[in-house]
Amino acid sequence: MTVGVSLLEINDLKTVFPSDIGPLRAVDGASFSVAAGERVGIVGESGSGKSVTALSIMGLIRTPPASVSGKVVFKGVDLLKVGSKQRQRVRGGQIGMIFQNPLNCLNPVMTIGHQIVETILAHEEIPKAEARDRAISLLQRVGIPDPSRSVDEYPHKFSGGMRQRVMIAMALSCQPDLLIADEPTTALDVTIQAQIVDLLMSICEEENTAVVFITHDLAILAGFAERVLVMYSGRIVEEGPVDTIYYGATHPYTWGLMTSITRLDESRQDRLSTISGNPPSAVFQPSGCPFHPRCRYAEEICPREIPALVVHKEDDHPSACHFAGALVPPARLRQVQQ
Amino acid sequence: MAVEAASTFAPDADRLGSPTVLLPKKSLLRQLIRDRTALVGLIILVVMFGLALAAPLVAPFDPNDADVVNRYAPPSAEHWLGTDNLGRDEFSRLLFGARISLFAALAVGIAILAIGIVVGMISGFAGGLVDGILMRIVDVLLAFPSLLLALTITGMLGPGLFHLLVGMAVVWWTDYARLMRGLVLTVKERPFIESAKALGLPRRLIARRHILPNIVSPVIVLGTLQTGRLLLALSALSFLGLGVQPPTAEWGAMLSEGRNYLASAPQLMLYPGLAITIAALGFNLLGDGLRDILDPTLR
Repeated sequence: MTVGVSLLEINDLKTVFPSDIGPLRAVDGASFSVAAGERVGIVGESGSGKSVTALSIMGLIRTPPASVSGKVVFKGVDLLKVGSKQRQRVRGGQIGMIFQNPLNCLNPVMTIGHQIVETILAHEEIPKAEARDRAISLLQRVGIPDPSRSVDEYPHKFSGGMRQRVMIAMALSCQPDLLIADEPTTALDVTIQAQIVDLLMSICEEENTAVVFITHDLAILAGFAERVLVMYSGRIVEEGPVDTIYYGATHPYTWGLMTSITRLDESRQDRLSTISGNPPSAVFQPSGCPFHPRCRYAEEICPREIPALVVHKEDDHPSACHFAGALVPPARLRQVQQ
Repeated sequence: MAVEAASTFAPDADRLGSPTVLLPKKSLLRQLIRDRTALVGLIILVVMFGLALAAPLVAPFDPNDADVVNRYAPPSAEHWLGTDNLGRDEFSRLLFGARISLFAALAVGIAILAIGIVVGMISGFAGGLVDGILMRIVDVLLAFPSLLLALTITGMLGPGLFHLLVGMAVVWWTDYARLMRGLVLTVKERPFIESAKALGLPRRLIARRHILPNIVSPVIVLGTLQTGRLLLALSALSFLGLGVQPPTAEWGAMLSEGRNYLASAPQLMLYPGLAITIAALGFNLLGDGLRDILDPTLR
């Protein structure tokens, strides 16, 4: 945390859904912060609570039945304490969000111009013509060809990548301070992924918009994020600057993620490395460290105590493992780290 | 560049002020014309509504002018469809009857559409207890045979066209409410609704601008078919003497009057019966055609 004051402080965020077999702890005490203009990546397997974290920040979790507790302090205001009116103003106005599936996230019966204008007018009192002008320049900004014509087109005329650009334009329409991107590239093919990541990068740099980029693809984050949070079973298990996470991770789960990346420059005789077992159920969580049933380094203390996300003696960044810094990473990873 | 592009386009900005284009209107009309069923239905309805509107201009006689010496006249150049039991011109009565039958059916159609849309949207949107209560009311209304219930309500209010319309509206809005609720529930879960919420749009705006336009097509189809059914029900209830009172011309009431002379002058029942059948056919053909056109494009 070297850059500026924090824009967003998440403290002990817990999001619990009721279910037939007991409370489902999708997010279980996550804490992190995002500085103004910072690019933060959140990685983790499916079901690790990444998306629910994003939705909880946005206030898009229906409560009740679910419950969201902890603190979500945005610009000094705890969003979990303010009324729904103010929440709505923040949403879209100061925090923008883009979703995984751009094909379904635009209303098929409205022109994209209408949809952008509508968003602007929901947050600002300006003449329609002005909002429309801004919509056109936003489309231009995100790289939609011929924006003054495209603004009157319906979503079905755009490809997936173009629709994601439109989504980004909508999310940016009120100059938010924070953009949450929930797997924005997952539904797109690789070349388009790169373009979208580049676009987000340039927006972040030019407008000083902080971006929280949620993905399960470590490779994408490598070129984008300044800081990476690794999420497992509803908690942050390791966090640090991107290079630290990639080259000096100390949590066995992060190692598992890193070693399961396929590499072109490796011999193909080795079997693809995987993390054995499944992510724990959010209802029946293992005692102690949630990763211990799958961890090959687990010892007697692991099922007993939940490791805190702290900087250990032998370590240089926060890692929620009892033995952070003391374990030797797997051989395959050591090659990369050297 | 952006500013330039924007400013050259500025004169067109007023286009955004126009109401949302729910459907591609031009192509809808063109498709309607290409679809033979729908076209026949449309022509029937246009001609019938046109004649109903123009009745005072087109009708050769006053519909209530009795020419007692000239009763049960066969069709002639003067009386195109002959005269009835009081010597009134049958054709003129049919035309003026169309005004009441068609427009009353349409009025009830619009009223129940409005009630059904509002109730269905509230129910689908709110969910929980509100949804439960509203849908149970619908269940209760659907548990009775609708015609019988409309008959009972009108009977309690007292005969008369307005009371009849009220009775019908109370009974028949349920179909729309059910349909709307189901559609709202499906559309509500689609990702662009969540996306709209994430953009901070108010709930009411989301309901009006994002949900309603996405479910309007099935409602149009149901509305057209329903209006045909309403016309039949209206005629049936008038036939039973609950609606329009004599001497006012109305198709169902004309049928009812003609019934007394079925043996001697069956044409007095034939003409209004045919008119009702053809109008209902028109609504049904148009509805079927609309369904063919609208459904595959949206689903």
